[in-house]
Amino acid sequence: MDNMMNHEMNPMVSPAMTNMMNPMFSPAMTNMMNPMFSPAMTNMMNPMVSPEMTNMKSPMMKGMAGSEEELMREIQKVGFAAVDLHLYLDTHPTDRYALMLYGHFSRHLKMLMDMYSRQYGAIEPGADTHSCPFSWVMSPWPWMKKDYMYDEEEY
Amino acid sequence: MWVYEKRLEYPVKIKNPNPKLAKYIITQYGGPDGELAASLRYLTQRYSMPTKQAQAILNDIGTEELAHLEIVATIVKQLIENASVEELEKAGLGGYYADHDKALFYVDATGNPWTAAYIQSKGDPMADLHEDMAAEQKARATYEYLINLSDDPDVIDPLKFLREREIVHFQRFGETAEIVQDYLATKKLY
Repeated sequence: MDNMMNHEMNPMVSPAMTNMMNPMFSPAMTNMMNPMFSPAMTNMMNPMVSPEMTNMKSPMMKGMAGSEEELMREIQKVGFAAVDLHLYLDTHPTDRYALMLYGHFSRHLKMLMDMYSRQYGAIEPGADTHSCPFSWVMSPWPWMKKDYMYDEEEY
Repeated sequence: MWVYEKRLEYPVKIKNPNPKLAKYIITQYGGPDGELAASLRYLTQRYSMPTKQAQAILNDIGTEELAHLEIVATIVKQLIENASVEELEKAGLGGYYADHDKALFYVDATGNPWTAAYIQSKGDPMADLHEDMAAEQKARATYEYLINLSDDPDVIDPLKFLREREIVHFQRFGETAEIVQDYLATKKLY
């Protein structure tokens, strides 16, 4: 029974936790206007994507600004849950339920980070290898206020 | 080795400048019970821990403290970046401004620079872990004093988060001390 209970594909463990379409996981996942649902439109190498669509500051994309903050909040929430569980596992390394939860949060976090990086540029090294200039440099750094007018600089 | 995620562990969005508050809050950046002290203490103690579990917790909490250091820096930066030089001087940050403009530097609330005298790495795991537990309590108390000094909800919000993390870290160090104590006791039997 024990080895069945920690197999996370076992729906008996938690049906809700294996359903990635479960809105509990992320409001962004139920928003059909979310560009994640159309990968072609966020691929910066795709010539079909106009310069307007790749410039997150352009008037056309400003409507997405709200969802950038929402997505970052989700990442911070899920990321925090993972960190907290990670520390717990350091002192309770045999807690199978915690291990399972940690796995779910970590996988969900990875998905959210990939989604964010595809739309807004890399937030971990290697996440965006297509954009030119290097998006790791160009997206705002975490200590900057998003709505503050910094001097426009090249790099 | 370290990988950096380009985000804050907890959001910081300060709307109103307040150099007076910044002068107090900077103590959690470069002061005796601040995040730099915590991080460097744990990251240097981890090498002499006797069990893998203790090495893990020192490593991981030390790493999280770096993320907290970043949050404190962001709070201070956003509190002073829109303030005038006159406002900085009136708040008692004239000396700081002369030395650093509006840059971040490792000082306490009265301007004393950070020193390794704030930390110890005794090698004796019981000494180290009890220092770590005390450090977390000191940090928790400091955040409470800073919350008492603040009236801005944008500031109080991240300070509350940081205070809660200190409580959890204290808990984890307590567990580690117990585990290491048991381990050392069994070692003595053989």
